[in-house]
Amino acid sequence: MHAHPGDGHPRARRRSTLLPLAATATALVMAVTACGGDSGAEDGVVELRFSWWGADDRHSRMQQVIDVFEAENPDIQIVGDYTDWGSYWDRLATSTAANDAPDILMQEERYLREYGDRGALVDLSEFGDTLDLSKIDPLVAESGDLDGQTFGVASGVNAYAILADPQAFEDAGVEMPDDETWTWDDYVEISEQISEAGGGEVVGTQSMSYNESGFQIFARQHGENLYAEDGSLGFSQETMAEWFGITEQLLENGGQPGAAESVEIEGGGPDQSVLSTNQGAMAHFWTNQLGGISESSGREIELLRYPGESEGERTGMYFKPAMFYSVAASSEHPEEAARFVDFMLNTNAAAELTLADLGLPANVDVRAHILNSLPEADARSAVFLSDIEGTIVDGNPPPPIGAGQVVEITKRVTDDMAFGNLTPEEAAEQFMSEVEAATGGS
Amino acid sequence: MATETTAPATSSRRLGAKRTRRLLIHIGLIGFGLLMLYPLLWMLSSSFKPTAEIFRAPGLIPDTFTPGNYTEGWTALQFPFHHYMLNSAIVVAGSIIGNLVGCSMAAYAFARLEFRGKRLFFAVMLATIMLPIHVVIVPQYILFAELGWINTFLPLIVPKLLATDGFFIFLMVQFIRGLPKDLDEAARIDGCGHVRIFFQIIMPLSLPALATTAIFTFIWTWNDFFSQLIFLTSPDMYTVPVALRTFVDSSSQTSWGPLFAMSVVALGPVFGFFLAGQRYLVKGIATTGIK
Repeated sequence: MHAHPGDGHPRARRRSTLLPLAATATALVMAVTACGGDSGAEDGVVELRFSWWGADDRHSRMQQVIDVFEAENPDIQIVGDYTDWGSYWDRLATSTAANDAPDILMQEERYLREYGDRGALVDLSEFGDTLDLSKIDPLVAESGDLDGQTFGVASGVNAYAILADPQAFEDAGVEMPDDETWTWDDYVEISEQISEAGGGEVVGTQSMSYNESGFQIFARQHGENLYAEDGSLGFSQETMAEWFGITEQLLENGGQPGAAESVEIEGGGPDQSVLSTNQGAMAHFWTNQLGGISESSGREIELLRYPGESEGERTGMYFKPAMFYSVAASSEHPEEAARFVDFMLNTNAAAELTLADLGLPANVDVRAHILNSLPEADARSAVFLSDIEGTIVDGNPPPPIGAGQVVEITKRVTDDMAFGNLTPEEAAEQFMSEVEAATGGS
Repeated sequence: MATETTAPATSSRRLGAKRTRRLLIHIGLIGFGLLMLYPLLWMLSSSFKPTAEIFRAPGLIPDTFTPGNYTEGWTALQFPFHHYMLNSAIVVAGSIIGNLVGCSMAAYAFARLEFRGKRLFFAVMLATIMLPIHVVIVPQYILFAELGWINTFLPLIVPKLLATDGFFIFLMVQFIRGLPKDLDEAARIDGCGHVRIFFQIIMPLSLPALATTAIFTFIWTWNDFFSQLIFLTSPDMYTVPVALRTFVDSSSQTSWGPLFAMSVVALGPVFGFFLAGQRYLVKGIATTGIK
């Protein structure tokens, strides 16, 4: 406290304390801005943002594809922007709300209508000269169409199927089923036999009712579907009660793990499925997950068709568009974005890098081209898909807005039923009313 | 110890009973501590296992010990891992400076100045603590998009300079209120204005509160995921938490081994900063009336 009033000195000192502070702050701001991305289009090069979800393996593949594209198209620069599934939708929702969505983005069935209906996506059929859609597998060619507009183009196809561990079957002394003729009763019985032989160490199957995709197959076998063309529910309560009834039987006869254990297994994702941990013989997954699960299980996992394919009035299995390429309506360069989508979709060069990571390529020529270069498990998926292709009746209509929430509803209702709070009939009723509420209840 | 000379027999028995009790308490505490530590130890041990083994043999002792996850994880992403550490460091340093400067000035005003609407603004400031980030993120995003600040560190740092972190203002207000007003008055008689009182009286005395703010800002910003995810869009700007998330995907295979290895690395700075500042942290919390 050696300052004296009124001699002007304190003011000078005061400035000297503030000045460095202000300078630091300014320097910091400048340093930070300098690091920032530059989105300006200089010297005629168009910069586009391309956003996808996935894990590190996909990120490095995509980066390689982008490098190849940029080498061929020097007038376009692609900036990749990626994160995991959950965060992807948080970020996309925020940036779309602010009219700042990435130019090219990956979409998924359950969210396509939500973004398409709100005018956030471009109608890709407008770019007929740039974007060739003629070679797309007819089973998924129209899967991204809504009211005559193409909001998404399928990157590839997957099918929902049963993954089975032949080793576990052998250990239990149970024959692998003939998947062309097996029925739902066979499925329940086989699971029980394996669980009995496994003596608590190995179970027959993992709970199937946590994913609505399996029910969709079941509904289609009954001549129904999960959603109708107009986005309303496309199945009857009896069908769904029957579906939940199968899980109840498996819980009772021990063919699948108990309720508490199932919750835990389900929370762990594919890496902690009963197959990956060698604690079960069957589980329900997408065909593109075969490679990963085979690897983490250390065994040669096989693909089986769903039970009941020859039992019902028609077959239920279907090709699912693995992901969609979409272009944001807010993009300033939709024409260039369409060129990139065309490259991803129709060139062998891109497919040689992505292989089956985005589903088995939707373009049938490209698919044939990479078939021999696929890793072993993916090659078996490809064979499986071409085997079932002839039995598939039709595609599915795009799910309604709010279908993203159905994942959570399915889990909640399944838990309630598994813990004995709901009968299969009540579970079906609750599922239907909750999904109707979530999807706008048409 | 003093009783030992007067009654050695009884005291040694009492000492024995005391010992047993302390032993039991310690065993209990150590056991509980290990239980709390278990997830951390599990992560540490998993970071040395091959990915395929992590969930198949989830025990603490790895069957096969491999440091490979560290070298693999460091280079698995598009940029080497220190690139993301550096980005995090920039954001953290900026946030700490911002909070120290912004919040201390705002706190001084609330604690020492009289102005119209002070109570109202104080209540509004407290209310902002209670707003979840999801409520404000879209308006904020629109604002920063208009300013052209998306994909820079600015949205994460500049608001801190404007004292937007209500919790730290509150913490410092409580602390400054505890400082004797006589000091201010004495300084005022000596001719100090507010600026001088702030810098030469209040700030040096508020060191514990400032340290607490710095440490908490460090930990929270280093671990913050959501706002960094939203505002940083291109991979070269990613910070550690956002980069770690790119290892994980629920729909495909996750490289758990490298992920755990890098998570251990990411813990390092927080752990170090906490160790170094722990003394101040306790002091700061104990003296601000937030107990």
